[in-house]
Amino acid sequence: MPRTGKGQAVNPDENMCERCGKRRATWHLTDFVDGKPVQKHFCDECYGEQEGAPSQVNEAFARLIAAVVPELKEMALRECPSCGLNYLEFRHTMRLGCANDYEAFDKPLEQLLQAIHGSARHGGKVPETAGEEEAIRSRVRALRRRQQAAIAEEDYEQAAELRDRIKELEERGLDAAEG
Amino acid sequence: MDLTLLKDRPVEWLKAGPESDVVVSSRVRLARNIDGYPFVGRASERQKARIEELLRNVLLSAEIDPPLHYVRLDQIGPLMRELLLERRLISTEHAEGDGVRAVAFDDDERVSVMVNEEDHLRLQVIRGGLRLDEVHERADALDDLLARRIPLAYSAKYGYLTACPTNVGTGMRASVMVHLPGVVMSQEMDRVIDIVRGEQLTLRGVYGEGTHGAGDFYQISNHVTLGPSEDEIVAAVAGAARTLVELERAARSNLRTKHRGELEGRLGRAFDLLASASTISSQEALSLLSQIRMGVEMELLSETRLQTLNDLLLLTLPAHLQTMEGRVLDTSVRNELRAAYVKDRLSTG
Repeated sequence: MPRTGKGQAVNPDENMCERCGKRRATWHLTDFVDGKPVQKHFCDECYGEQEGAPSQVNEAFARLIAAVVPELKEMALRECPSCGLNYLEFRHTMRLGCANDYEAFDKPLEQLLQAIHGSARHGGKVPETAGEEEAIRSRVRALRRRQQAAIAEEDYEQAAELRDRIKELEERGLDAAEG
Repeated sequence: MDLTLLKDRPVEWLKAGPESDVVVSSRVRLARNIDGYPFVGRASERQKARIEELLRNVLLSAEIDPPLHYVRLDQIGPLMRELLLERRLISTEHAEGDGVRAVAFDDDERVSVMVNEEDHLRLQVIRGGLRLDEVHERADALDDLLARRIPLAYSAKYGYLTACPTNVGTGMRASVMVHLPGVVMSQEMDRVIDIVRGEQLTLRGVYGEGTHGAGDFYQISNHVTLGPSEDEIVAAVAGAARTLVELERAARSNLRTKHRGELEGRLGRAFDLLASASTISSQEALSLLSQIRMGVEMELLSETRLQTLNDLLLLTLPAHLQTMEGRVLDTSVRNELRAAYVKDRLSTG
């Protein structure tokens, strides 16, 4: 099976389909003839007719791989500027190198945290040094979760009480934000 | 301090407390890191030494009441490290680790702080019986005190930042150790596993490997640390522990009603065996102590007291025996010594 890749050709000779010579070549393949790599260029139509062409499924798979590979490559290359740990190394040991990794590894780490904890957002303690505004935001999030639980259990009295407390806290939060 | 003195002292977490017919102990652990330093696994020896110095100064400061003892683990031998491990003042990873590292603990061993374990700081509060709220409050207050003196790695989005992503957020592990011989004897462990899973908690045997705990001692704890608040985590773990207490009590009551004669015979034989053995392994001692403990709790055995059994649970462990003897012993000598020691303790009450 030849290796398949689709995209813009760099060499102008590779612009036309080598089979019909009429249409633009959109498939650029590397085949092996007598053990040596040979470049081949086909349009969509001729590509499907040539011997040993990948099936529809293989084609879809090849397109998927082509889309995912750059992303994987980008993840592998992602490196923390502070401690020098890269993402693949981290996935191997599951130990981060420093606090800055949480920013450096950004999306892939966020997805991992979501998978581990079912959440990617802290809902607990806020240290005194983080300021009143952040403390209030965290408190409101915790009360909202309790409010949801009360509604789910049809405890509407409790839910209403929690709603009032959330409102009161949010007003205090605005005051804190405005200083 | 002279660590060998610890061997004669009972540990706090084996003292009786609320629901202690089933619940052995309650524990809260918080993981914290100092802002601006790499995590321990990626820190140089020099950075680790600097972290240790910073934390030592804070932990030995006068603000902490009662004051803490401070022990450098890289400056003591393996037997003393194992003694600290058996007393649950440090983790296995900390005992077996390398480099500059330490533990600070208070006189009654309720509070212990590991320095340079997986995270710069692992703060633990433990007490006998079911009192997770209380140990959490204490841990929280100590955390506030430390945070006023050292800048902690924290982000508004992810909370307290830890070396392992499974600890990030609250950095909190809340756990309760329970003794479930009645449930095990009634073959109802499946129900326990269902309860624990339903609450998204983790169950593991305290002694031995896998889910079967030698001596029927199990620990339940949270595994989610990011998302819920500390109070929600404590409520979930304590709630599940209360359900297990009810389940164990029901199993014991059922055994008492339906199989009293058989049970009394079995527990009596366990006592006789333990009180008369000339050699005994720590696993076998643990298993017999577990059964006798249940007999005493159910008032089916009156030959000994709960506190004596709790003391023996700790004192028959290898490092405690060897510290009492003042030297390293091979297994067969330890087994003989253990049997003699147990016999002596059981005959004096």
